Amino acid sequence: MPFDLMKLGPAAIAIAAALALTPTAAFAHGSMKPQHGGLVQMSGETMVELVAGPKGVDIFISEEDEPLPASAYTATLTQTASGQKTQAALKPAGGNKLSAPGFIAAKGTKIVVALTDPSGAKIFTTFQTR
Amino acid sequence: MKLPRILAVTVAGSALLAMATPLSAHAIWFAQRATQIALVYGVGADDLDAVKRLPLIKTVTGYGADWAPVTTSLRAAGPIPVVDSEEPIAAVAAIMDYGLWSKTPDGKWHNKGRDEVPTATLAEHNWKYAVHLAKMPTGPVPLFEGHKLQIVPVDPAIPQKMGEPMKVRAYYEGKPLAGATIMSDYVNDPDEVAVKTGADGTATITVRNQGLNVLMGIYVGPADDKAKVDHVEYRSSLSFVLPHLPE
Repeated sequence: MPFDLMKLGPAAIAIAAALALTPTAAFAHGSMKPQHGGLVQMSGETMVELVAGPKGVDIFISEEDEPLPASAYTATLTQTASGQKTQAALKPAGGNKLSAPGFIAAKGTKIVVALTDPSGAKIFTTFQTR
Repeated sequence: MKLPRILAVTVAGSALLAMATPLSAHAIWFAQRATQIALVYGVGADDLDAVKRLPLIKTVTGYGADWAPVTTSLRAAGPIPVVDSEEPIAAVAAIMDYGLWSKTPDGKWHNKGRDEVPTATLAEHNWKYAVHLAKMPTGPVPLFEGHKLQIVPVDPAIPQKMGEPMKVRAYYEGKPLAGATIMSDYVNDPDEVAVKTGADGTATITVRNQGLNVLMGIYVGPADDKAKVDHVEYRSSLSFVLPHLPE
């Protein structure tokens, strides 16, 4: 049966408004749960998942749980270990994945991913490897 | 009074107010726009054309969490200049030389010194500075090269709740400055009754916003060229963001 909020009064309208707003606020930027077993960081609205393996480093990018097209982005990763920096380009690898094959992420180091979107806007995400 | 008349009066009043806003009231600060850190030129809610004023920016410098310099520049992204850096930055600073301005009896401002505008009733040189703390500092905020006027938090542990007091110190040419004007909310309350720094250069303000805070220090100093200006006006912003509750 449909409700007529105007007949139910201001209190009902306030409750309905609160209920309507709550889910939006709680999930405004999507889930932070890793989808590929990696480390997850959010910058602005963009979620970056970093997966470091023996064959290289991959990142997966999404916004509000929607994958972003990797081919539209350019990205680099910079690893800092013992004061030394090593850098590699991340290349689109299909879907929302960008890869740096052969790049070995050492444990306990800082990795910064710089992601540039088609407009030129750049975001950074910083990961501490385990 | 009918609505259209109210609108007309409001628009006319706003226009007159805008015309009356002294040129030197404008300043620069940094604020987030579409996830990027943007350079803003304006006063209050007036976010004016900063891209066309980019040639007036003398330096933009970025710093990491340890205050080590990070290669940083400004990039015009449509009508907004945004900060572009090679690495994440914890702070960014800029200097704008707004040049010489002379006001004639008819109320007009001219981008020239008194030597070229002999009828000027007022002539000044405007410098504008901005320091933005993109991350909360873990140590004292240093004085940046070229920032003749700079506002610095006395305690690096900036309050994290609006309404709390915050002590800042004004520095002019590297030394504490007494008598500087300190505004606590340049964006949302540009007409506030500001406080003045004491003999030690400090003043205590109330942190106004659980979001962007733009503090503004103002100092009118002696002329750098007496033939051209009566004085030099410095405006220096210190901006930072207090976090909102987790979503």
